[in-house]
Amino acid sequence: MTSESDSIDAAFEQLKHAIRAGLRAEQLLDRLTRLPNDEALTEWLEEKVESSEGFWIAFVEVDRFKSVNDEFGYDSANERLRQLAQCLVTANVSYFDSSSSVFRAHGDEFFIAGPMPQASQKDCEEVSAKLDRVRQDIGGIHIVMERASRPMMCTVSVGWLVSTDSGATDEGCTQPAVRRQLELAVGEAKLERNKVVRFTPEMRRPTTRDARGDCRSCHAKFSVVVPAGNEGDGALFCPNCGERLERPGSLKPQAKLP
Amino acid sequence: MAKSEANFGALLTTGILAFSPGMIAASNARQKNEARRNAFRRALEVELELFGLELLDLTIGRAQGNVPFWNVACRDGRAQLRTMRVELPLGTDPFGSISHTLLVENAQKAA
Repeated sequence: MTSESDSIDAAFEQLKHAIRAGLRAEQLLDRLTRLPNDEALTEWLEEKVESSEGFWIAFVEVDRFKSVNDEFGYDSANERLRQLAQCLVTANVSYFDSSSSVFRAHGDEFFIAGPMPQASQKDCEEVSAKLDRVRQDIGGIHIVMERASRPMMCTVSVGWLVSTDSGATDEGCTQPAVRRQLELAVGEAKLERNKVVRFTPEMRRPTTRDARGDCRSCHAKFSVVVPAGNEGDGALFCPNCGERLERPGSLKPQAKLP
Repeated sequence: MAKSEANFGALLTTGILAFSPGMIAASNARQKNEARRNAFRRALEVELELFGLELLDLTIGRAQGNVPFWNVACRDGRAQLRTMRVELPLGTDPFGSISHTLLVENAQKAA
């Protein structure tokens, strides 16, 4: 009798542990795509830095995603994200080994990451070529949307780095620094879009006086230097069509001006 | 009674098996890492308090050549923010005693 009670107690403990593990695993998953989420990515990066294991990581951002959201609504945009997630998972399995993972951090921001113990030039070239194939695969997706007259194409801009690239910077390779560096690289890629760019320590965050982006009205690219002292409330106007642009303070930081 | 308890035990076992063993193993590893991080941070917090410093942030990093370092942010008794970067010898366990000692020594100098 006692041994039966003991075994039930032990089974209860195991079940509690399993439930806790299940809940924690659920917390680390993105609800829309069922990919590991931002918290899982943070954890992955921290573990890699702690263990001093070399790694590569790519930030994949959808081009013109906001316009899809605005034009076709959230449901269509979510469907696009789900298809993109599926494509990334397939590409990850096809091109990289089983130790690499795909994450969805926020909105249209995806990451692919994997270990890279040596970071030789050959390894880096290989990853770069594979990421370019991922970019091309995504470019081949034609997404049918309810409110669109024809299937839509999807392109992505990719910024990536190797842990040694990050370690060579003044701030070093930390979890938050890697994210900032990837933003710089993807910002550089987004200048031309549908491109893969590797982070270099020379990339820098622009000052508040550099403003660049796309005009929402005519879609022309603009690159403006905001006069000193005019950062707070100075409105910007598209040099092409004269449309009022976003305020410089609200612009997403991009890579350096050439 | 014995039979119903046995059935209940079988039911529990089925419940446990419903969760994948891989998921449980990953969770165990994760918990172990979190516990190690928390224990290291707590021990450091206690020591820094002796110098009147409140630990705000502790972030691990790797510099060129894979040299490990800690970025530390503290607040002193006058609410001034103090940040420091403590480099560790190559190959040092960031959560080991050498790392702890170096962090405390540097904090003491900064205090």
